[in-house]
Amino acid sequence: MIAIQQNKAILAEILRHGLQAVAEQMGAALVRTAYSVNIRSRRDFSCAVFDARGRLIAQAEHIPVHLGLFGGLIERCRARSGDLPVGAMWIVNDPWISGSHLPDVTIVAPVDVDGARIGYVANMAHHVDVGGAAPGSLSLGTHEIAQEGLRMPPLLLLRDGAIDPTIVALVAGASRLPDMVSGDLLAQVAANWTGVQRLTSLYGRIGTGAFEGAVETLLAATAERLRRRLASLEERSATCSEILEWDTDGQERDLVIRVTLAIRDGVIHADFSGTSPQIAGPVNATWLITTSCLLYVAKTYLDPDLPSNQGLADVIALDSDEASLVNAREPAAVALCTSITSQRTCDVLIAAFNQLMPEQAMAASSGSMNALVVGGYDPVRNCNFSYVETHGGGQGALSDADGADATHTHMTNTANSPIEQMEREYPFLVRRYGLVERSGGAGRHRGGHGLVREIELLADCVVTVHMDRTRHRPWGIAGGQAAGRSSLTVTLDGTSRKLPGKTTCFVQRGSVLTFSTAGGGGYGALSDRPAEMQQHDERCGLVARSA
Amino acid sequence: MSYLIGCDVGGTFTDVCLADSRMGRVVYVKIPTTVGAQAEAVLAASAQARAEAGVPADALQRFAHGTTVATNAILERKGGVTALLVTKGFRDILAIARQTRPSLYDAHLRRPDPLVSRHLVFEVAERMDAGGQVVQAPDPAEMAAIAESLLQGAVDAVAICLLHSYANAAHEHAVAEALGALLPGLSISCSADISPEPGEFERASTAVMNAYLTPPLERYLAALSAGLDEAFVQAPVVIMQSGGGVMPIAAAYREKAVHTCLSGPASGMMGAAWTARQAGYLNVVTMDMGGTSFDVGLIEGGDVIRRHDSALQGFPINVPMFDIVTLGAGGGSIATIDAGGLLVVGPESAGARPGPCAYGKGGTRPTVTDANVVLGRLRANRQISGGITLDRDKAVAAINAHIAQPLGISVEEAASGILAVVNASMSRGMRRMTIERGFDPETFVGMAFGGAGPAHAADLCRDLGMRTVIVPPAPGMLCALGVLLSPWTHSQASVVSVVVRSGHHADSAALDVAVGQAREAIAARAAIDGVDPAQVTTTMELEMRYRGQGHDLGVTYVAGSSDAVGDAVAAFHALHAQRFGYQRPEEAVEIRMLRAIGHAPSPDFVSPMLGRAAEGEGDAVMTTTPLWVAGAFREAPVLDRTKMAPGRRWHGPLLIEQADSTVYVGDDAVMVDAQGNLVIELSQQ
Repeated sequence: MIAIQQNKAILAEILRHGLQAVAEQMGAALVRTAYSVNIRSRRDFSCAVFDARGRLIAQAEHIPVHLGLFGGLIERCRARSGDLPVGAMWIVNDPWISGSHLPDVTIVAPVDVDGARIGYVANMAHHVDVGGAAPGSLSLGTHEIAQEGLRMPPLLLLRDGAIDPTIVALVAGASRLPDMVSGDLLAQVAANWTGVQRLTSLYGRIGTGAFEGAVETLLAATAERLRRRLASLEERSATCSEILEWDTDGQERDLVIRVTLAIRDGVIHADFSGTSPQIAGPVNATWLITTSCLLYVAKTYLDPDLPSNQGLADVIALDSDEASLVNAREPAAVALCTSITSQRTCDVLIAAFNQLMPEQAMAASSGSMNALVVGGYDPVRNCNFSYVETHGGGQGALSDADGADATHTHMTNTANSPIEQMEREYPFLVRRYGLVERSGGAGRHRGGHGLVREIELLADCVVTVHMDRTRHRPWGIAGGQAAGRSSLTVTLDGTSRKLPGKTTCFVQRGSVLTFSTAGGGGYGALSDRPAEMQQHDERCGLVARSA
Repeated sequence: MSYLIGCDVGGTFTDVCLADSRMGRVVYVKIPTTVGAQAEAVLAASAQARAEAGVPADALQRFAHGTTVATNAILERKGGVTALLVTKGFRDILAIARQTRPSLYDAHLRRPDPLVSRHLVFEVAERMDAGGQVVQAPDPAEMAAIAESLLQGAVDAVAICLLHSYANAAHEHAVAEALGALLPGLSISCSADISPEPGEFERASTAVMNAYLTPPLERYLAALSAGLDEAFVQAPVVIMQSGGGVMPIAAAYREKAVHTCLSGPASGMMGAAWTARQAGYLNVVTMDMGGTSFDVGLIEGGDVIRRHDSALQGFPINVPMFDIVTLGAGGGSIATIDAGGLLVVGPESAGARPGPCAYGKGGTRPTVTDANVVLGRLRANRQISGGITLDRDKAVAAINAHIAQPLGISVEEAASGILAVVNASMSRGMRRMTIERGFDPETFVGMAFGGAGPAHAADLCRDLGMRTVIVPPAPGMLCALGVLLSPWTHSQASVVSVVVRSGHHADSAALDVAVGQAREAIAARAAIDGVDPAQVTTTMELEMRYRGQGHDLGVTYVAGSSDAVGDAVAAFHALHAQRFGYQRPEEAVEIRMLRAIGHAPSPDFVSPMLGRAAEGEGDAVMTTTPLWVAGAFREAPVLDRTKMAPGRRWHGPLLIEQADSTVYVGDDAVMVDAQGNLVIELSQQ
């Protein structure tokens, strides 16, 4: 046993390492046994550990958009379905309980030692297909959640330690890829088993009583650490707005996300009043996704190494005047809440933090996860296929550094597919993959470059695109200039047509898709950029975009 | 007589082992590394070893060397000016990498800048498809303009990475030939020759690293060769590879330069594996804790675990390398109270300068080493290397001011807390290395080295449920011996694509072709390297997965046996069950890569007795020292490692001092085995 007499400031830190190891080992188990590319290579999943009261005590998130979803999860599940019996596990993907869109499926397990509940473990993973209007369950053209796929309140996937085959059949039956979805569910269950074993062992090493005491210290210390960082910002506030690009029946519409951010009494208050109402399209987000955005921006500006646990919940407060784009109510459609809405919410919070902390201001980044989903029938390999990819863009310039080129920013961080793998597995010929020249905003520090991929489709396909910043450029700051926009064109037989940023459509074999992402805005005046840096940019063909 | 030299260069010391291989006699020399001019210390130490052993230059049979020249060139970005040729449309392969950022929340952290500046990346109008069929052939006439630009850019080395060259290398070779004709003498690295695997970014990164390392390795190895010539040493010089085994000098600065990235650490792992086998242990977790880092390695079934997809400093390198996880925790890691009031250790480090407070070099912030000094695990006033005497008062003052007073606890409690926290973070790294890779740590023993390793090993291993810790004699010698004992090795990878359906007999025809080609390639390499191909044994490994999975597992393939593929698939199911807890025998299995490894026989060697035999009992105890155990100081014996008699057991708490480190033994038993290793038997608490 780890010495019981340890001071609580020491024991809590030992516990933090131990809990983090539990979450990491759950993730490792999931990666090794999962079937879908989403989970095993793109790592679109997160793992979490809770105490007996259901408070989040550790999480290993691989993408920040999951950051706020686990807080309060157990409480929301219990409110809906009562508590978990020993040896049972919940499966849940209801956006108003587990927070994200329907393909993100969460599985929760209780951890019981000698008849006493000591905690819970859970993991959330992105499944390839849970039904709905189009492959991938991420379609445009929907008006309400019922069109987006199978929606599950907390159901018992396991009873008395055994998987209930009817629940697996229910999920598989709703999916276009039943084998893969079933395999991934089993991997999620196995990851929870790993978590249960590891948490039990850690609890045994620290000891009853000492464990609970260390949890209290850890949560309080996490809150205190963030509060201290906020002390110098007390009474500062800012109000900012951003645009989310939408169109209805071919008419372009600008939806507004608005926030008033204020630091009061050691708490970050984010009031989203003035944001556009929720709409009959899949760009609405739950309050939980919006919480992820606020936590992400707070960590980025205030303390990147801050542990992620329930202690943070006491230091943030979200508010809004009514149901809106960022606080959607049932039966809103939410498929694009992660790829688009979370990034737009993140940008408005960054704009506000820039006013609170001008010395750390950063320009806008590419502003979307730039998702591309291509599905259809491959006549050469004689099978159906479904390809999903998100694309990075330019990072906004910082007050003391250029923005990074061609990178995922803010709410995601998933890897690309190698060109050679795409051509080995799908009916594609990739003609170009590179930086978009003159897409970074000019300034003392230039914004990062967006990237471009040109794909020749060797089969008829259905293409879904999630993009933003096709009309409104990522802004510069402190005199820095705006970046280049994103765009999507389809070229067939020498004729090109531009598609809107949010599209699901049929594309004919032989067409070339040109998918360009936005750059990042610049920081400071271009005239202040040292001559030798400008010469270097020119020599490398990386001159910034200047209006 | 047959004399062999093994030489390993570390950051601080250069170790040389000269062995009379028939008699098992070993002469061992350790001198400070000459930073920036490694060859000087290498030559001096070798000359000293020969003088001590009375061995004339012309009696040496082999000079085997583990070097850090490549590692340092990467760390300091001091490789050659490198250019890259790519398929048209893909100029930014290196800049885009995998489009991820290294930290989710720290906007300042970046992927490393590519080793090739964008103005030195050139596109070639050519295309191969995924099946290796030509879509567009390259035009040799295009090379003239590129050659001109290379001249203007004062380029030292060129890498070529064209799409799908792992399936068909013809275009890369044609471009290399055309360029070589225009610029004779230019160093050219073709990606398909260096790492013929799918994945254009990682393959390009590997080829670029090879090209980048060629100039510094060529300079260094030329200086070393010249020095050995002057000393009339004519023995062939061989260089340690990152994945084990050695290669001749000529390969090390040409097409296999990238195999030297971790030449130094590989020597240590080879030595560790050898030592463990001698002592009868086949499954070992190695722990190397120095001033700033903690390296964990794994030996399973007597062999060091390798991987084929490593990264160094953020640059992917797809050639075989020993699988070593490095954490930023060491003796110099700084302890502090964070803004929330918790005691945290690292990632900040006092490094070598100013170093821990107890070193008296100006450090004022408490470190892990200071905690060990306060608790008596490192003896106060003890002289360590570099003319440093451990100053306990300074360590006490720092821990008192920064940790004990703010938390309202005693200095000893604070020091114990620092050790408990750093151990918790290191144990997380050891779990990553074992449990996350599907190994049960309880079936492994721990092996500790590095200056700080033996002070922490027992607590770490106990935390993972391990029973035994071994501390080999003189780790520096272990490295040198590891190089000395390494055979010539060459590995060859090739892409295959075979699907085996459940219940169907697997046809090995497609594999047979690949196996034949791999054998030929290894024999050809052996001939170039001056190794008799008839002496080379080749083993084969197949990488496979259940169809649809994303992760390969490697299993042995015995080509030519009656149901070779069927046996390998059966082995795959079993391995999958062991690693991941389940198998799916009804699923189709995809065979994706063939990896062949050729080994020459190891040098003849009679195992030496490394630890000096002790004279009598009782002599080993030099003195006693106050040691903090279970909440109080107790006067505990301090043993001189060189005087501990094999076979005898001592019970802790006690300290064992050796030249380069101190071994802490708590409430456990310790003995010296017949090979001179300390063996700590951990009590189960």
